[in-house]
Amino acid sequence: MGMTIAEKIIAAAAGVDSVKPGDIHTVQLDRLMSNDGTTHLTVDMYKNKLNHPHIADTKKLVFIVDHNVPSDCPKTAASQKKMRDFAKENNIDFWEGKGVCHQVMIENYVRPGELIFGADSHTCSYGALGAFGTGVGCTDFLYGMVTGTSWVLVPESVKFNLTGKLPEGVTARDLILTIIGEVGANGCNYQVMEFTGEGAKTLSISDRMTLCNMAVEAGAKTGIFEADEKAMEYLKEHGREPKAVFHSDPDAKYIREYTFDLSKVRPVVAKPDFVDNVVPAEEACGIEINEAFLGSCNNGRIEDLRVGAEIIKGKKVSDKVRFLVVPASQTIYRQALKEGLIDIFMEAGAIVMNPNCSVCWGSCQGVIGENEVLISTGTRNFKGRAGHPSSKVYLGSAATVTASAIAGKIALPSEI
Amino acid sequence: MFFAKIPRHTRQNAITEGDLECILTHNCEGTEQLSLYLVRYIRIMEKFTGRVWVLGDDIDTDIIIPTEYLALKTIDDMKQYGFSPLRPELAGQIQKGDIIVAGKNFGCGSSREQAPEIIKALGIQCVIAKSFARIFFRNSINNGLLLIEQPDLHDDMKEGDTVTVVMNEHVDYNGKQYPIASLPENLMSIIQAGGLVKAMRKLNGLD
Amino acid sequence: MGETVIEKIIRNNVGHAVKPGDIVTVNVDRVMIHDIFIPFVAEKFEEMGFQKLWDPDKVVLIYDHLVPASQLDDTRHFHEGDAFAEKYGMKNVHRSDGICHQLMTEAGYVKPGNIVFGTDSHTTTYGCVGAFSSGIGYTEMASILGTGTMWIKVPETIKVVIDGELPNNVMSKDVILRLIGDLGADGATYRALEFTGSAVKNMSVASRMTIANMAIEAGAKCALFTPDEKTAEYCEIELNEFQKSLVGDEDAKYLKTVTYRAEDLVPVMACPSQVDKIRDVSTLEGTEIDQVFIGSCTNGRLEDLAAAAEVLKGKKVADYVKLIVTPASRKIYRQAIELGILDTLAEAGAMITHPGCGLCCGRAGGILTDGERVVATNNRNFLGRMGTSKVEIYLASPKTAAACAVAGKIVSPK
Repeated sequence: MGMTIAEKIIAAAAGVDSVKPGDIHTVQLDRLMSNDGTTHLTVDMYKNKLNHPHIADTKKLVFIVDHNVPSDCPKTAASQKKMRDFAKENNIDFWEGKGVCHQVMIENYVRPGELIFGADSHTCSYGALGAFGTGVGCTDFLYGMVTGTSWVLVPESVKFNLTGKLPEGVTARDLILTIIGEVGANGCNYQVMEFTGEGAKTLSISDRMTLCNMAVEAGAKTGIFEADEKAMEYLKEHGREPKAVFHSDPDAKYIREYTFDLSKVRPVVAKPDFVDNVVPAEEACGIEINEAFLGSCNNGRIEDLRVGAEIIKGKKVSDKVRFLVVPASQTIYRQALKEGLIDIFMEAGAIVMNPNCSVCWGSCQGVIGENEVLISTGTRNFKGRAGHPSSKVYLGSAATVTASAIAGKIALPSEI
Repeated sequence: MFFAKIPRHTRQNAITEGDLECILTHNCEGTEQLSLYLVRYIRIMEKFTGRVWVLGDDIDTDIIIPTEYLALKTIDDMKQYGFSPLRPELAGQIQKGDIIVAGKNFGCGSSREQAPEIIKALGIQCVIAKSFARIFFRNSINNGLLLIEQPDLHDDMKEGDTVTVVMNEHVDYNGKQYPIASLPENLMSIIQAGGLVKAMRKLNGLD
Repeated sequence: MGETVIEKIIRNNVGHAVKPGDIVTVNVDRVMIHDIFIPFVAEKFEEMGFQKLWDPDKVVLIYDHLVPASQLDDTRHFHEGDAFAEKYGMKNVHRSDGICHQLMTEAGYVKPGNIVFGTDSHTTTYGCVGAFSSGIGYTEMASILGTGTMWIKVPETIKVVIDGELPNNVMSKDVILRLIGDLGADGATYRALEFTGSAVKNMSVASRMTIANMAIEAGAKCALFTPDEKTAEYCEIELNEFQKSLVGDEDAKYLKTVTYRAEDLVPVMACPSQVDKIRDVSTLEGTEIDQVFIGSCTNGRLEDLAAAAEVLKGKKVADYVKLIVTPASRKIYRQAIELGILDTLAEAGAMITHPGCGLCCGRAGGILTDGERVVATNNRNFLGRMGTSKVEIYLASPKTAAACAVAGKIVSPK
């Protein structure tokens, strides 16, 4: 029987000819990524709980300091030091302040056909390049680190057949929020969201990352695209070769199928406190905000910054709003410098930060206070996610967020 | 302290009650109310005793209250962190009426007025140091925290012992007398009024 | 009898000649309040019973210590600041434009000969353009907001003469560190420092700012530079007769005079944890470091970033070492983009953060932990200032700091 891309990746990693949903397999991991959110805990377990601590293959490990960088308190600094010292002792690839982990991974490591574990839920982003990336906890990570392997329960796949093309002013961000609004926050629990069809081909790698990145917000184990010419071109630009390019077989089995006509997607906003609380953006317009955030592994890429810069050029951020712009990586920051985007944001009165996770998870920079309202391109709008428990987070596209920063309330670019 | 830095002859001759009026009425444009009010409040504490905590030279404002805690809502929220970089346990040990004896340049660093406020809130009744930094000095006076300059006491002082301060004369410790400058009445009056805020309230006809 | 610069400024303000020790009431030309203290100023102001500001245009409110907010309660300060500004009709509010002291001179709020107070000890900075400026607490600030006046004691003046040409690897930061080391951290308490000499005349306003900024670290009430054509250009004014007269008279009475030959000066550092514990960098070489910070109101200006970029161009920050660069203002950030400085720094591996006080004030922006060592261009290395009390802070010039970032240890700049 035919297999999906995800099934083929797992089969290859397990060294078997075929797998089917519900099977449990031991797999070889191609790469393990851990960030400063939890690495110190992993290091503690490694040093204190194991009888014979060792690392299967240090070349497969990547440590990235991104969540709290530069650090905002001694406790954070101590966690990061533990991580840094461990990386140094064991010769592990170490990145600090160079970008949000998933962006750094896509820019520097991820190859089509790979199976990657990351100690972060948004590891599902790597499907943008046809890899199977998934988030795990510290214990799973430690096991993978020590053995180079792990076990996986083969997930069912859900097919998202995309047709048409996104209209002008509508972004992949609006699309994924629309999809999550439709399937629900647990609509794809433990399943793979496979994005395919003619519409999928029209999406850039950045768009695909935006989609795959939020797969976990529908409960999915991962999101994935077939590695096509665009993926190959991206790899070539970044000096890498694919591990293996898989296509889903025509007779592959999907547990469900959805079709989304991209041309019908409209700007949307996810209201507090759930990612699937999605409404047309117009319905949220007029809500006063205190802060706007353009950044994160979901929407902090050059394409997103271009969207924001075009809207804000020659205009000013509202006096009532703190507009934080945070490129997702140092590479993106430098590209944005070169294109004049950073200067446009600075001229408009934005706060431009070094690449990090910050506002998206409510730490170190741009923390929002009591009863404050944030509109964000981040990944989540859970209660208190970006700061005080009484604060509210709305999720929107780069265009909506930027327009809102200018208007001082949730707004669409057409209104300003 | 501030006035101890003024050469002795100036101190004795120039700073009089007249000067006090001059200073304060200038500051508060054309009202005599304030100085009258302050004069009424002058009540020199003659003598007091307290248990001593000994600190070193250059006790800076970041030690007295680290920036990390400056945005807490109230002085009461902050005071538990007083002196924490140097002696984290100290804030919990200080009791009302205690005295700090320190070396030179006490209160150097930032203009944060929380520094004297916290020392006062912890219950310290006065700080005796070899010398004080300028901004800290003004802030202390404005908040009614008594500062006394004494060059030798610190070198002899043992923590936990008690000293007796005889205002305008000397500090008694271990059978020895350490002379202190007499405190000009204008500063004493601000301290006794309970700080500059109360003085200004009076100016604005509120108390 | 002759007058020092501070005596001339005060005379001009009060309308009669003054001498050290005199207590006078001055009319304040401008005040600055920053985000950490605005709630306290507002509370005291209202508690004092004032109904209005003496002059809303003379009051400047700047958010910098808490930008971007790093703790849950930080944004409350912005709301309380905004509310106070609105209630009392203040227009001069900067919400994310950079560090207060940089903005006060850069945005034209301070002119030569002015008397300015701010709720921050580094308010001494404005002496770089020949203004008498000093830090005060929030209670006194509240009283100025109501009355427009402040009582001061006329300080004695220490004259600092620096003649000659500074060596290429020596910056004005090295000069002020050396001076603080020689005077001691309380060596100028309650005194004015007056800077003069050919090396001072050759310095940019930015370099003078570094020196004036750190005068407080020797305890000084203020630091003063004679306004000249560079000052005029920087302030975008033509100097009037009074401003031109702000030179210490030959027969003025100084408490003492300290003289340096610029050629004798070398790169130095203030070692943990006293600002006056000054050592030649050459004696510290080889000490391993974990982090480098280039920024602050002391050394976050364009010439500082340019100096760092020159050192870092084509090089990389050492492995496992962090370099954090925080330009002092939005304007400087944008100028640094235009000149390619930020790209050079980013290429070398620097994290470039938004203009603000950042790490210098110890609230965020690169806090360290036990056993870590940082070389920083800011103004204080107090115990616990940038993290735990077991963090070692070395203060240095941008050139030295950049060289250390490349080497991963303390080295002298070339």
